[in-house]
Amino acid sequence: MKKFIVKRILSLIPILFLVSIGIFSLIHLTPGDPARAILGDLATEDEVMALRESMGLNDPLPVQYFEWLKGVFHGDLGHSIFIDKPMGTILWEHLVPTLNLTLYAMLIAVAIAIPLGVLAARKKGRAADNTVSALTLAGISVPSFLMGIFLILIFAVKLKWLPVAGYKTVREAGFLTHIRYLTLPAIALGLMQAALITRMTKNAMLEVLNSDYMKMALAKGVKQRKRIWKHAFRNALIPIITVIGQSFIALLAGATVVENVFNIPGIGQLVINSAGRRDYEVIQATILVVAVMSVLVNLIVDILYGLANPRIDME
Amino acid sequence: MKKRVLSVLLSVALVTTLFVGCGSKNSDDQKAGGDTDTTQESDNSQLTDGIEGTAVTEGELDTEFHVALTAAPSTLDCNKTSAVVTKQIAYSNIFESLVTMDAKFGVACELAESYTVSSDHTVYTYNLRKGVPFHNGQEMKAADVAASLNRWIDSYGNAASLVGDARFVVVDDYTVQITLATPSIFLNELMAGAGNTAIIFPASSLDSVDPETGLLTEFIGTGPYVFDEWVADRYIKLTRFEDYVPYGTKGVIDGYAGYKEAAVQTLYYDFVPEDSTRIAGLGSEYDFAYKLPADNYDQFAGKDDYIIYKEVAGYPALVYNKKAGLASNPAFRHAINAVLDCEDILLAMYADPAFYRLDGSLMIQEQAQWYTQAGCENYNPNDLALAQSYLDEAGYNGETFTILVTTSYPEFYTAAIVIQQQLEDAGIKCVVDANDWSTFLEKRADENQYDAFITTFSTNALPTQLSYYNPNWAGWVTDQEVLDGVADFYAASSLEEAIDVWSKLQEFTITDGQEISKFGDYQLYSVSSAKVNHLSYFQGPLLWSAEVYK
Repeated sequence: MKKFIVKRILSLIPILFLVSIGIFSLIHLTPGDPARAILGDLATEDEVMALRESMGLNDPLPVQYFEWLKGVFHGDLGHSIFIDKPMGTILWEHLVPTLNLTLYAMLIAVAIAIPLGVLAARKKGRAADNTVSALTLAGISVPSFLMGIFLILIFAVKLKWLPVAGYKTVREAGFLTHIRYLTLPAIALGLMQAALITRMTKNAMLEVLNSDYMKMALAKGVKQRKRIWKHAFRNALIPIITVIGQSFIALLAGATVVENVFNIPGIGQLVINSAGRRDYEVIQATILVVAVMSVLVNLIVDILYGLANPRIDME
Repeated sequence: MKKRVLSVLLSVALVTTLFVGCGSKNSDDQKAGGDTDTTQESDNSQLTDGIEGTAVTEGELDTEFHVALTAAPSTLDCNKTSAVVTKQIAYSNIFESLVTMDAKFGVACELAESYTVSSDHTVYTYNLRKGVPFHNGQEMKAADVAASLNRWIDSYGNAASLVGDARFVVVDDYTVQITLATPSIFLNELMAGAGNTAIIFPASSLDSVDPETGLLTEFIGTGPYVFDEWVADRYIKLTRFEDYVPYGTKGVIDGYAGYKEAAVQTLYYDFVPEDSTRIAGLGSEYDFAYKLPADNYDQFAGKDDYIIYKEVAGYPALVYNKKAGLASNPAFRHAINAVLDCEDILLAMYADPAFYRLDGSLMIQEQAQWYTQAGCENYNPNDLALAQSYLDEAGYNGETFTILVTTSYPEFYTAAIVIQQQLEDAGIKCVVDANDWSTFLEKRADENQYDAFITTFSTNALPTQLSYYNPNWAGWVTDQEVLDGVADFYAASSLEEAIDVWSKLQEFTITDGQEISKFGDYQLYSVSSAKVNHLSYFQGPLLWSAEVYK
């Protein structure tokens, strides 16, 4: 297992190197200029050129790239000229809302999906199965931003149960308020993934429930709860874990849209706003960190395979 | 004759204020200059007549006020940027200036107790208010003012053009002076109404300037609110400056000038780009939502829960590239102008005739001093035969006319699509090059990328502050008549003369020169909860006297 983990971590290096070159090139070759974004619509060319020069933007691209890379190797991801903070601080401030939102959405998705998927598998072809199928279809079909707007209209504007938008940190307003602000966006974000995980759970469970050893368990008179949750569900977990892992990455990406609708200052909003103002260092560092996170999530999923099914040889 | 009489009256008014500006703290002067209002529908503003709704002033006052803005500023250094959002947050909340703009776009004293201008309009002397503290506790003195204004001159092209090599000097602790090489009657108007505002900060703030960007990194002014916190992509928080020294008379506000009470302890400028989120959050998360879509207007009109703030914000226009390409030929510009059907364009942009008006004048009607119809016969001709004759004159041979536009303002893109259709119908090949804001700005700086672009122009104190009169700004005005007109305007020795110069300059701009094709004036609206009281509105919300009930 250790050898496997070390190998996977070492394989990260070339991936991240390629990601860094790709994102650096993409950003710098895209038209747009941070100096113009700072100086505003009415700035003259002379003013823009002077600012570009002082910001080092007139240096050749390879020089700028290696300067940035040198910083990264020294643990310095850069400094945003717009936010005027080091990247480490900026990433932490924006990563926390996104991770909290994603974890909350994941929790909602799994809490809904596993019982519904198991239920649909057990009641295959009956009313409960059909209802779950209809719900999952609806969940997959409604985009998260639209779901977000519906939720705002119903639960925030009409019923006034939850805040319309915004974000409060635990330190600012306490844990309950923090959760209140995240609830609607987490539901909007989690429902689509819940639908996907429900379908996968149902299919995986059906496959296991139809296997010979489950028939044997039934013939031996093993209690239903034990049969379903101990024998069937555990064996159905591998594809479910895979989907949950993929869902986590999808939720991180999907959070961008939901963050925009609910005005949550997460990584998604950071990237969108930084791209708009061509805040190069922020975009580079953020995408690099998100790439690392994606690879790490995949690594964790692989490790969980081994824990869920000891027959898989991690070596 | 009427025009002449009006000009004489205006000249008398200007001369009176030119030679002894501001004078005293007596509010009667300011009352005369601004509409201080007891006739508003609502008691929420004393400034604009575009307010609909009535404040509900019951219950307990809140200590926080949340404004939902459409975008975050790139900096709060007002000297260095012309961005509207920077001005809305920092100017007159955090920073103040020697003179500022009243509701009639005139000059009002702020940190200057008074000023004098020599009879030859070369020496401007400002007597500062005494005992005005900065947010760091230090008293504002002449050295701070001179340092601030000299940085403003170095940062703002219009100011540098007007004053040349002249700079502010300290006369004594409470007096600054500038001596111009060339006479000008408009230095105060420029200071009061500049896009890059002429803010006053401690001279020591210059030590905080970022060497890389040249921007201030500490925001210390004399205004009623202190910069407290900027959480990226979330909000900017300002808190009341307890030692603020107001000027004028309590209850009297006139444009950016007047008695600032700082009624609310904490102001939050929240950045909420999604229109639907600003709307849904109004009354709960946000007390005021800036710039809402015309489509949603009926949702608020006539409802007891809301107050609507409407203001003519300026005008959209097609700005031609005079430096290169098809539009460098004036005959071709005339042809494009002749094709445009401005009513169709405006309707597509603003959805409802209630949000625009057809008017060709380059200064809006609300700025009566500069409003003129000179040359407006060439506005919105929508005459295809005339267009064809200009195309023949230009030797048009089926080349493609490129309109550069940004999708960051959807109404600009809509206008471009309508214009494209109108031009195609007139036999002119046209493509629309749509880009995000940053790309748009970069392409706009390259004369080989486009033939015209679409933008809006906001209200200015002086007509020559309109950016298309700056030969270094995109579009690059090249006509000597325009350059001379701008120089003559700044060198005018009387308001009457300046008005006459402006009238001729406007006429040339929209006839022979055809520097731009204006579509018409447009109106923005914003909405607050009805629990908001005493909110002034001038070029955006002014919150120093606003209060909000829980």
